[in-house]
Amino acid sequence: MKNILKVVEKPIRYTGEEINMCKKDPSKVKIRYAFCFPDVYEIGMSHLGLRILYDLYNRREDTYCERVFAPWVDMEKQMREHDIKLFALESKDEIRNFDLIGFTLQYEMSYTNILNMLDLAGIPLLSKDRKDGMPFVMAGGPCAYNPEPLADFFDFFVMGEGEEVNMEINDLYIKWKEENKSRKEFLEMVSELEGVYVPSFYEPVYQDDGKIKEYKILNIHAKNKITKRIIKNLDTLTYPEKWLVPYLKVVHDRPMLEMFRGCIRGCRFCQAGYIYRPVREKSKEKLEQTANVLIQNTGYEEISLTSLSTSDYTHFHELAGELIKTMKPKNVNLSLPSLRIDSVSLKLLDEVNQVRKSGLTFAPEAGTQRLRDVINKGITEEDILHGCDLAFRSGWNTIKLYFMIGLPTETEEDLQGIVDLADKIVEVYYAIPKKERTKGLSITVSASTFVPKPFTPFQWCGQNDIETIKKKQDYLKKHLTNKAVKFSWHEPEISVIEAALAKGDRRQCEVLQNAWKLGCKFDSWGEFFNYEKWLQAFEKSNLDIRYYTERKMDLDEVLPWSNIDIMVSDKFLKREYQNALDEKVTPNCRVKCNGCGIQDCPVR
Amino acid sequence: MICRMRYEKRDEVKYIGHLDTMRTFTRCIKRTNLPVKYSGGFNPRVQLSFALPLGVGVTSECEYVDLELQDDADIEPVEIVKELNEVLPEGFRIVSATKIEESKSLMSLVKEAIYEISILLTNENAEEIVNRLNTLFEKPNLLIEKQTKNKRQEQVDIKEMILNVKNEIVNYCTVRCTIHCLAGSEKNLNPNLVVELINNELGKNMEDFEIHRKGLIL
Ligand code: SF4
Repeated sequence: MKNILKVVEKPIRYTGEEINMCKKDPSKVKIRYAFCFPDVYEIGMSHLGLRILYDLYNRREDTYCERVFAPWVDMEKQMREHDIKLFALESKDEIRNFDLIGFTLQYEMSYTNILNMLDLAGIPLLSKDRKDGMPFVMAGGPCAYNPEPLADFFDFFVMGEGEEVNMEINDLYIKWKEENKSRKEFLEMVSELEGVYVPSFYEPVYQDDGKIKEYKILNIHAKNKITKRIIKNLDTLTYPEKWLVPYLKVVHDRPMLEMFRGCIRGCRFCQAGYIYRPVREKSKEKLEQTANVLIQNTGYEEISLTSLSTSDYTHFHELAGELIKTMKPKNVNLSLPSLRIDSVSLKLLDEVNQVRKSGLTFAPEAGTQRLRDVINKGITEEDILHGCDLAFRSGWNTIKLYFMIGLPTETEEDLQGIVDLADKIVEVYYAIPKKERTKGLSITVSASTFVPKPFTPFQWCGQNDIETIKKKQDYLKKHLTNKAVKFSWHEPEISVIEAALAKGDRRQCEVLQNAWKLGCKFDSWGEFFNYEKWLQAFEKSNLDIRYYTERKMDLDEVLPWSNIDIMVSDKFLKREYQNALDEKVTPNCRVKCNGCGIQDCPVR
Repeated sequence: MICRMRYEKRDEVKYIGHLDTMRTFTRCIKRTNLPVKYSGGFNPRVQLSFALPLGVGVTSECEYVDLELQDDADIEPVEIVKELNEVLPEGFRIVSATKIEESKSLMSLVKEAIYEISILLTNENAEEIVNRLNTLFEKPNLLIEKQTKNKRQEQVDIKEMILNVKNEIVNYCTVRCTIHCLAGSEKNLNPNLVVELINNELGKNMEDFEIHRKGLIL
């Protein structure tokens, strides 16, 4: 192990020992927990969920939680050559001897890495092949809401926020171990917990046309529906105050201050907007206090406010103002991502940004008001143009615009709308007297491909086929001709696989295994993604990928994720789908409750 | 006032590169209550200046860093050492500190360095290896291929940069080559080149070498 570190790139990905790393004597704990993030260190360490659970587990005296990331390809090669099994960062012990292995599922394109990590760990890939004495392999995170494409690999899944349920699982584990029961009995025990899904207790039955007929329940302990877990009052939670400080520059290299969970907006393509409902805020006082502790414990030069749509925090401006005041004497910057751009927020950005006027971001997502109404993106052309005007006048010259192409009901007019909007922004810029604007206007139009996601009003929608997406991209390439405007796009193939996995059913477990055997890994990394191999993987299992990606599902069809309940009703999602087709907007939750089905909603 | 500190960088942290080490020091200092001086401007920074960067994977018992304190700071170096050692991660340790007046940058003061290169033997005879190394370093020229900044290969003679060499047996499976050489911004011998030279001679694996910086002469 020592020697292979000498020949790999960035060995500190594997050495741990960061400031605030948790050290425990493994022989003194009852549970050894491996928190696995199926991507490289720099990405995994930027993830708030890891920080929260790492801290929470390690606050327990009976548990030692350690981190595991996907070894980069050079490290994997060395490990395989020297027969070194996947180990945890803290103790360097092999995780195959741990009690619980938990993966976080943040994006579909990390799924092959999970198989690869299990294989590197020397743990059987399939849940059914794991024997007594082997760890239980569990998963949580946003992608767990459709657990089916991964069902065969995991012993159980956790739905929703993990702070409480994971602790309950640990308690049960200790009890189970003391009572010397069988593996199956442990699964029965956890399946009685709210929010835990044991896939082997459910069997999908298919119709002749390939659609799911029903799920058969195979064990009396299994519930009909698994309801996600949420924390009612976020102020009752502890926060990872002993924030780990990586040596390596990671993607988000600053402590994050989570202001609230959920989002009031209800954009119809956005899964996060539904699965994290309802909105729950932390108190301003608690946040200020936490911010100070985080800075004291880490010595970071920057701290960021994070949440889905940061400016929607009720006391946002007071909080930001307060933080700027307390952080300034400590020479700490405040980073404010995902702000809605208006005069107040520009003033705020002015304060935190000082001289560096880096780019401003708008996410209209669609080019025309009609399509923005379809997707319920509550931002108007006027908002954007006005925001740009203000921004240009206060010194900004770089604007980024995010769009999605392939949205339901999209026509050429909507693509032209993207072009027109970019051109109008250019006009706004030139309408400002030369002296009052910074020169060097640069507008980037970035277009991603729409991926329909479970638990959104668009979950029934199909995705455009690759040819159509490419044609749409070509249209934009051809028409975005202004020299101040740059167009950026991605090859749509990754989005196709993402859609297939997002909406996949249990038959895709085999596809995943095929893909992994064909060498797929790090699929979210352009340099490794191999579309041909993925297509082969589907073919090998006799599955038509288009069945998953392009097919419009029936509204009354049994969805692969129908065992899961996110507390938002099916009726509401259907109503929202119809509203989309009718081009009707739904106001945000603070304007009016739209009766999405959440019980005891604090916003209402 | 400037506090010049000598610190060690041991095994646990040897893979942390120079930039990351600098960042770690900055953050650790910010975690203390030391009366440090910040630079002016919009992004005030802790004023740290390091001596010769240490290569990734190299340990050291002789690293230097200058920390600038507020002009009216009333604090003894021993206290600074104590406070910093409390927050530094395992593997970094300040061994000594002294107050100095205004100084040229540390980097420009570096003149020479001493490296210990440990060679792990597999089944070679230690005595024989020492003899071969002695003969090697007695050659009038020590030529080695080096990549230049624009990615071309270039032959350099490192002989002129070596002031002294000692090869000795540590135990039956380790031979140590101690190199005293020129270092700093003028002429600097990268110890990796010496490892390569030895490796070319002995035909081993790069993994069989450990480099340790034993001294830095200011
Ligand atoms: S219950 Fe009403 S206010 Fe609460 S999340 Fe649902 S729609 Fe929004």
